[in-house]
Amino acid sequence: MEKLQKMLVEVEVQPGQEVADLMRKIKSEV
Amino acid sequence: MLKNHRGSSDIIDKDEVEDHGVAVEAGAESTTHHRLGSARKPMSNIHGTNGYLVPLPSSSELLWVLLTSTGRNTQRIQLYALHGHHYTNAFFAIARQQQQQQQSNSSDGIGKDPFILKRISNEFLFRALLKLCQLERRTHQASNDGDIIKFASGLDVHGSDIDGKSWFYRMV
Repeated sequence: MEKLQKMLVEVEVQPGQEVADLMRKIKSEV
Repeated sequence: MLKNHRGSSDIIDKDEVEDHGVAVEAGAESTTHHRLGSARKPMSNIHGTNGYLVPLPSSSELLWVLLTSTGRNTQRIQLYALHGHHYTNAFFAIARQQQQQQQSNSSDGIGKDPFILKRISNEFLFRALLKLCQLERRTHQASNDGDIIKFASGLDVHGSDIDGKSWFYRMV
């Protein structure tokens, strides 16, 4: 669970925002 | 629309999250999505595989794995991959929007506030099953690739949701 918890990044979803966009953003940050 | 980034996706390994692979015949049970009328309702490329969400008591969230796929919209592909192919996965956690206020107002813990996405992980692949790779490639080396159709059918958390263990059940 420790590694799984580390994989999860907090996000703030804006109305109408695609989940795919969030995933791309996380990919660029990790 | 979401595109898979197969070349740059992480490949999740047994060392990272315990994984209990269960192989079943692909296409053994398939459903069609015929609707009345000529137009098919547009579908998202992001979907889950199970209605059960794993509770994370330490953060009052619900955890699950989403999957993404491509190639569902062409007739030729639908012959052998009805629900798309080149699946990738990501963990996500949802929680009530106004959790603190709700906990103070509601004695039964069941609120009416909508769930929102709180956390999400990077995209990842499940590593291909070793035995299938050996049959295909006549090699005893572990594959460094994933299967094009594979999804998590179950997720369990044993012990604490902080330092316990998580177990996957995956379908090929």
